[in-house]
Amino acid sequence: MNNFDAIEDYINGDLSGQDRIAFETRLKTDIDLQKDYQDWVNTENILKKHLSAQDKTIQLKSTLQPLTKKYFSSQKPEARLVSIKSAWLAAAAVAAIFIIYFSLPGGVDHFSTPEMPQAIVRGDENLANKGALLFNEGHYNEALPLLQQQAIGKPDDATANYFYAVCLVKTDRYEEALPLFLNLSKGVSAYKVDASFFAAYAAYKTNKKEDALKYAKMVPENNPYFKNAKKIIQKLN
Amino acid sequence: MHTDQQYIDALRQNDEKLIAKIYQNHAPGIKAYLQSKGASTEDAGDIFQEAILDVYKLALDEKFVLSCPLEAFLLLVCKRKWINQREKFKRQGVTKSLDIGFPSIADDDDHKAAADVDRVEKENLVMTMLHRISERCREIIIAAYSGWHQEKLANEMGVSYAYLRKKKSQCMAELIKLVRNGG
Repeated sequence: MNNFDAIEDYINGDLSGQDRIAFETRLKTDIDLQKDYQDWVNTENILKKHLSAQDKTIQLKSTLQPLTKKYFSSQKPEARLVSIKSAWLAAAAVAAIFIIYFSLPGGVDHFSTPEMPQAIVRGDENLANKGALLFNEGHYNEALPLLQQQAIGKPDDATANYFYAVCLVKTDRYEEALPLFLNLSKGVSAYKVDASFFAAYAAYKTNKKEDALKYAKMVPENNPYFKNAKKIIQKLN
Repeated sequence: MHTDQQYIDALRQNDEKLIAKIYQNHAPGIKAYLQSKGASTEDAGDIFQEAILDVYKLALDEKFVLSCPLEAFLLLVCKRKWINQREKFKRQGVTKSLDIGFPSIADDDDHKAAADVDRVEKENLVMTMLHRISERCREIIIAAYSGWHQEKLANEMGVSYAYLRKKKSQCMAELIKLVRNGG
């Protein structure tokens, strides 16, 4: 049994009395075990703390996002009405993208799919939640008509349009997705930058080289899709 | 306790009015500082927002007390983030000589503030590495530390409890090793 297996058993209370005493005795003298144990406990505390605060962190982000935009925007935003629900959804979706963002190994087609917020939706619960659930589970063909209905019903709702467009990409309907992403990338929603990447991707898939390059170059370094956008640029240059 | 502690409570409670005041009071100065170091407006905004979230993460510990003015603390966090982002001067701490005109932290409080920033950086590293381990491991760890009972979790995942425990310890080992190597 390696140190980490022993630590898991010890912390879970799964060691018998004798094994427990033996573990504690070893812990007093074995420097490697002490280090592994300390790191395990520290890591566990951090995980518990952060994972239990995830919902509140998303809520706080939704408070911070418009303030950051207000105090750090280099452009004057266009006048636009955004419902509280949409702003909430947008912020939560952006947070979800970061939460599920992994290191991307490269390759134009290897991008992380954003997670569509569902539990926090108020109103239209059935349609929105069912579509979001199917989308998050990867059932894009089934999600598509529901998301389309949402997007058509709410043409100004950036969240509905963004996830409908991503769903179109996931079902290889790039021609239909492209104008939606172009529209989002010209807007001021929380999806503006991510939409630029997807616009570049959809343009790339439909051999619209100029648009692909143009929108790929609009993805900044701190965006989760930066590496993918860079790959598109490399492929086309 | 510093009078700015009220802002720590505001972050804990998501008090929109006081949080707006944090931006109103401190965003312009820190934006100017970051821009003076070469950050774009958008970079500065991202860093400032991340710094506020870092303060919030520290504030999740009920005992967390601000030992200096919030602006000085935010500036320290932002400065470290910008330095790390630029990957030029890793972990060299505060460079006060370059910061004439910007708020700094009194020497007595410097050590505690730096330790707090170290702590939240370590926490962020763990959470970043959590997204670098295998998907299966990530699932197991997130479920295990989100309050799932392990036997119920094993049942839900269609594996035995013994297998789940073994797998969880492997996943924790994977995560800890990544954190030790700094990613």
